[in-house]
Amino acid sequence: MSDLEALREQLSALLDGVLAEEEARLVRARIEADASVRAEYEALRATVEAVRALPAVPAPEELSARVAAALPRGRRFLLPLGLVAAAAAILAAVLIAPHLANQGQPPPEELARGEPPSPAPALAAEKETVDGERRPMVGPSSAVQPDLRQPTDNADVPSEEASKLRDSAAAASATTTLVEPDQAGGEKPPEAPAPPPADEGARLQPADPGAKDKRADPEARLAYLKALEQLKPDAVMSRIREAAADARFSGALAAEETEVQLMSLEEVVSLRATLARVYPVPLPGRAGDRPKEGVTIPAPRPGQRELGMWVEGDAAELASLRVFLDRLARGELRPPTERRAREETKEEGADAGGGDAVAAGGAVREEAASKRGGAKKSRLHLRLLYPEPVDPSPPPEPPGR
Amino acid sequence: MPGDGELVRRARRGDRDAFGLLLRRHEAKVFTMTLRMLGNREEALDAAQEVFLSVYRGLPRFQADARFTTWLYRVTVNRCRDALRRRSTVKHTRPAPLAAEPPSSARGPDEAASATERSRLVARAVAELPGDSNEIVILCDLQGASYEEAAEVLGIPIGTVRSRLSRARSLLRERLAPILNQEEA
Repeated sequence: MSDLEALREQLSALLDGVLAEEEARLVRARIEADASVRAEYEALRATVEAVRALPAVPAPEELSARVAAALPRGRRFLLPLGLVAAAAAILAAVLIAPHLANQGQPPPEELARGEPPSPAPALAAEKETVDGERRPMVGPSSAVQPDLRQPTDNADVPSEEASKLRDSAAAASATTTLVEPDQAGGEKPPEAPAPPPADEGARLQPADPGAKDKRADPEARLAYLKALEQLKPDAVMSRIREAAADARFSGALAAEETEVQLMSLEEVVSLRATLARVYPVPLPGRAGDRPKEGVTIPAPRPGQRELGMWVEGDAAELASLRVFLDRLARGELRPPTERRAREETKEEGADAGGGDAVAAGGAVREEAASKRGGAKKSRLHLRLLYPEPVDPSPPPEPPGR
Repeated sequence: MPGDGELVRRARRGDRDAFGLLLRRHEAKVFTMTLRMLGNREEALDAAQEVFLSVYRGLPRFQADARFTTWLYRVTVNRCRDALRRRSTVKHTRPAPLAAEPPSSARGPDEAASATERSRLVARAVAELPGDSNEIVILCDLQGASYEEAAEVLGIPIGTVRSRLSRARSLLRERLAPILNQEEA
């Protein structure tokens, strides 16, 4: 930096009153003593004053009208945690996809053991109240049953599978515990672990059919493995995108300053790291972290993986999120294709599919507000349990060999 | 009168009236910024609209303890940068900011005309500054942002704010010299 530039920078800073006292005194002395410096200072001051004198320009009346017209109609901020919810939707879709793809066949190990099909993937969330009291904010799912108990008329889901999903809903556990940071005595979530590698969880694990009980039905096992073969990452991603679109998360996913791009299965898993950037809330540890006393969350079983995250937001909105997750886990959200068909027959503004989630969320919101005297900031710990990915390759040996 | 923080909280819960109040409260600042950065009323209006839509969409991610105006300025700067990038791809030149210059509050008609002309020339000089000089002058001298706030909005260190602002003012001084010298004479 030249001397002149350095001097101009000092003069500029002096004008703004940001020079340290001693430096300001020296610069003033220089202005007093040197006519050229004084001229420089005066010219700079005149320039700055001319800019500062520019009047504020009133906004045109049409601005607010244009903004109002462009806002999504009827939208409520059901998803202030849009990304988190989207991530959860994605994960839930991953959970659901295998059930859809294998046409109701149980996982190989259960086939091998001759056990009945396992329940739907567990989707657990814990909620801690302030002052140490632990209570369900939303309560058990029955609290919102009137909104949630709708026929599973998912066109993509065969009726038998839909029935299974409905049955499994009872087994899917979801308890919620809230922490209100303002009153929680500074309680903080556990320290964040290092972000997982991008391919964590996405690397498909080779199956070990040889380790299974030989009494398993080889035909059923083969059918299952064939179904898994069809479960290519692209198909999974397609299903994920459908789930996201169904919940109208596309806006959240496309929102600016969001770095989430649904490009690959690996990125789905790395969403956890993304969430850590978007929401500066420490994430809990990985599988093996135990919930706090009094919180009921099933531990991951063998063959399951766990993804945990802390999210923070309005208590009622977290409740809405949970309701949505419940519904997603139960397979109650209709796919976009069917929703579109329904919307064509409805008047504009009548929500279908995702609108039910909104209604359920609204019910919870009111309940939460009345119980708690208004919406408050809360912290929700989501733990998602999902089946260990199974590698469809190498191709299984033909039975009987 | 609820503060910005309260309005943001209400808007996040779906209160459109609260968002409307936020819009009304800040629309002049935003429009002034977009107009001074883009120098064209129509583009400024489009950019201001995009700013508020971005803010609406981004409310869920807004950190409650952050200053709303800092975020608003950042979104505004980003939308103006986008507009300038788009403009550069279609080879438009930056138009002179004539149409939206408000009338001066000077007394006599001659004086008012002279002041308006001066404002027009100064505004044009500001609009024609190179990108980062334009941004820093608008933030610090027009919007009255502190060095700290400008640093946060632009994502640069405070020292860079200081040097960038000095360079921008020097550039502006050269361009306004004919007007300012004439007034002195």
